[in-house]
Amino acid sequence: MLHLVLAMALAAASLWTTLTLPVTLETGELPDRKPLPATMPGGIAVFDFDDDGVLDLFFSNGGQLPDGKKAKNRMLRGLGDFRFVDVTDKAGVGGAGYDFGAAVADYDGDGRLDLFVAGLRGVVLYRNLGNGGFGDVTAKAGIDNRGRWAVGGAWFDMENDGDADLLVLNYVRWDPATEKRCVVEGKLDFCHPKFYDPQPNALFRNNGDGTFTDVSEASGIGKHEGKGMGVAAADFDGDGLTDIFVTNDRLFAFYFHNLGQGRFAEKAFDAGVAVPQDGNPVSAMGAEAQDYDNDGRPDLAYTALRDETFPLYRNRGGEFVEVTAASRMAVLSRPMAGWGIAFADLDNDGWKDIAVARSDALSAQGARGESAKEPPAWFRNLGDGKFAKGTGFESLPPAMYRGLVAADLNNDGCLDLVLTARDAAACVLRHPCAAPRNWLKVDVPVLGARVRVEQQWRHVTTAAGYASSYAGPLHFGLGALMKVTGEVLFPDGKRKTFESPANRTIRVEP
Amino acid sequence: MIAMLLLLAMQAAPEDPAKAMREGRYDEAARLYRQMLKDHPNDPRLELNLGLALFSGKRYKDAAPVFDRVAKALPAPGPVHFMGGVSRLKLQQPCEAVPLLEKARQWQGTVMVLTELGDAYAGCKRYREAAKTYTEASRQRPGDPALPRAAARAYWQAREYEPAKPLYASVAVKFVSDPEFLYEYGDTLARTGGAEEGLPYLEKAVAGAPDLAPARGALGRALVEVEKYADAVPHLKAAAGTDATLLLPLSRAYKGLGKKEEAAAAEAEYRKKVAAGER
Repeated sequence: MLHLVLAMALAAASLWTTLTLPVTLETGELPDRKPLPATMPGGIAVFDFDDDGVLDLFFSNGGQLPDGKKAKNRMLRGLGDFRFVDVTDKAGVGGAGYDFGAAVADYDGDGRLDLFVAGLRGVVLYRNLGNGGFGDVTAKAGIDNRGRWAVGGAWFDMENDGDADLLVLNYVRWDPATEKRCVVEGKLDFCHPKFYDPQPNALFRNNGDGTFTDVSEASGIGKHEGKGMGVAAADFDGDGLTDIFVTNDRLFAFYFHNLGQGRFAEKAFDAGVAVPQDGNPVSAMGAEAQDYDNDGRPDLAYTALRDETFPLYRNRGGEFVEVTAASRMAVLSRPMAGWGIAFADLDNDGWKDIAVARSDALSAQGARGESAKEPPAWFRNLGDGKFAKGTGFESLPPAMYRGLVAADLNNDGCLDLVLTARDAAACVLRHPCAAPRNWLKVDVPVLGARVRVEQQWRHVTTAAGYASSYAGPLHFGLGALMKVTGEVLFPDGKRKTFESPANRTIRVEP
Repeated sequence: MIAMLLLLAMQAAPEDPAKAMREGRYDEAARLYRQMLKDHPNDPRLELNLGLALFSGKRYKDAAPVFDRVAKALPAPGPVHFMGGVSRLKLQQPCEAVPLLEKARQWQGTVMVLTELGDAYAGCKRYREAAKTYTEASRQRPGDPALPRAAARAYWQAREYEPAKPLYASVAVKFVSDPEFLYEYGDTLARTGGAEEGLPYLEKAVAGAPDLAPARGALGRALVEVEKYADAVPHLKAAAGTDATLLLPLSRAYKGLGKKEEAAAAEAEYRKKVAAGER
C-alpha cells in the first residue's frame, strides 16, 4: 500500500492552507479542440466508505475525448489528519468512461454507503461490498440512463418508504461528429449551451430488493427537457415529501413538487425559482438547499457566471423570494463565475455561510485567458439576512475550480473544503480553525430527516453543489454555546430529541 | 482644443484656404487644400488642414480617412489622433475611435481627451474602461458633476453597481430633477440594497418622465419585490412591450393580486418570448 504524503503550503495561521491531493482532473481539452464535455468535470464524493470514522474522498475523472483513454476516477481512503491513501484499484471504482459526477447513499439498506457515478456515455452504480471493494451492479439493478450525458445525481426517498431512489441529472445531447467549432473573441473556445439540445432527467424508484424501476415517465419528471447542472433535494413546502430542484444551463430551472404516489409536478414558475427575478435565464450551475436563515425551511442558492450573480432564494413555505440583492449576494458575486457551492458554517457562529468553487465556463486557453481562473470564495452570513465577503482565502491560487464539498476532514470541528479544478490537482482547503468556536456534528443515516440544533436546521441530503455528494455527519456551528438541545424529525413522522455537550459527534438512529 | 487646431490651420495654411476657414467657408477651404495637396502630395500638415476643414464642415465621413492617413504619416501621438477619434465618434463608430483616442491620451491626458475617450469606450460597450476614464477626468476637474455622473452611468451599464453607487450619490443634488439620473440611481440602489432603497428615486424618475419605459420597468420590479402588486401592474404593463423579461414580475404581481388568468397569460407570454430568445 502506497502512502501518499500530501504537499502542504502553509500560510499565516489565520489563512486557509492548500493541501494538494494526488489526483489530477483530466478533461481532454486540447489547444485545437474544445469538445464541450471537457469544460464539465469534475465531481467529488466525500463519505466514509469503510466505516472507520474517517471521511474518504472519491473523484470522478474525464480522459481523452471523444472516446480516448479514460483517466481513472480516484478513491482516496482517509487515514486521519489529512493523510490519504489511493485505493482506487482495490475499491474497483476507476471506471471505464468519461465521468463527471458522483452521488452517495446506502441504496440497499445494508448499512454501507454505495456510489453512483454519472458519465458522458453511461452511468455506474457501485455497490459497497464491505471489504474495501465495490461491485458494478448497474445492469443488475436496472439503472439505464439510455446513453444520455449525465453530470450528476441525487439520492432521495421519494415515497418515504425508507429506501433511496435516484434522480439522474442529464445535461445536453452531444455528438462529437457534429461538434461545432466556436470562436469567442477570435479564439477557439467551448460552445455556448444554446448549440446543444436539452435532455430529460431520469428517475429510478428503488424496489427495495436491490433493483430499480425507471419511473421517469410515470413520475412526470421525464417529460421536462432541460440542461441539468445542479440538483438539490429537500422538502421545500413542508408537506413531508422530498421535492427536487434542478438548475438548467441558460434555461428555466425545474422545481419538481413531490405530489406523493410517485408523481411530481414541475412548478418552478409557481414557486418563483424558474429564473432570477429580473427575468433573464442564467448559466445556472451547482445548486444547494439548506436553511441559511434559521427559520426552519430549506432555502436555495446556486452559482452562475459573471454578471449573472449567484441567486439566493428564501423559502417561505414552498414559495420562494429571491433575495440576491437584498442579501448583498448580488453585489458580492456579480464579478464571479461559480460552479460548486455549499451552505456551510465556516466560522461556526451558528449561521450557514456560502462557499463557492469559482472559474469561467470558457477555456483558460481561449479568449478569457488566465482571467478564466478564479480563486474560491466564501460569503459570511451576518445573521441579519445579509452576507459579507469572507476572509482568509486571499492567498489561494486562481484555478479552473469545479466541484466543492464542505466537510470536517480532521475532526477539529471546523469545515474544510475539498475542491477539484480542471486539468489540475484536486485539493483540500484546510480550515485554519484559529479561533475555534463550538460545534456539534449530528450523524443521521436517513435521507430526508430534518435535524434541529437550537434554532438551526439541516436536512439530510447527499446532493452537494455541482456534480458532488457529501454523506457525512451534519455540521452545526454553535458559537459560544457549550450545551445544546435538538431534535430529529424523520420522514416517517417519528421524532427524537437530544441534549448534547458541544464539540462532539453524536449519532441519532430512527 | 479643436478651436486651437483650427487657428493653427488658419495660420499655417496659405492665405486663401485660411481665409476661407476663418470665414466659415469650410467646403471652399477643403477644396483649396485639396488643390494644394496636388502640388505637395506628401505634406501631412496640408492633409491635416484638409481634415480640419472637412471636420469643421461636419463632413466627418470625408474627414476620418484623411485623419487616418495623417496618423499613418505622423504616428507619434498627436492632435491628429484626437481629431481622428472624434471624427469616428461623430460617425457613430466608437470602437474605431478607441485606439485613436487612446493614442491621443498619450499625447495629452486632458479632460477633453479623456472625456472623448470615455465616450468612445462607453459607445463601444467597454463600460468599465469608460468609467475609469471618466473618473480620471473627474479628478482633473473636480467641480464638474457631469464627469462623476458619466462614470457612475458607465459603472451602472457595466452592472458594477457597488462603485456606481457612491458616484451617483456624490452628484445626486445636481441631478435631482433628471429622470434618467433618478432611474439609474434608483435602479442601482435597488440592486445593491434592495427594492426599498431604490423606490423613492424610481418613483420620482417615473413621475418626471412617464414615458421612460426602463424606469417604469425598474419601478414595477421594485414594487413587486416589496409586494405592492397593484401599484406595480400599470408600470410593468407599460414597459413590457419593450422588455419581455418584465412579463415575469408582471405575472407575479397578478398572482399576488389573485388574478390567476392574467398571471398565467403573462407567464405564458414570458416563457414564449424569453425561451425563444434563449434556445
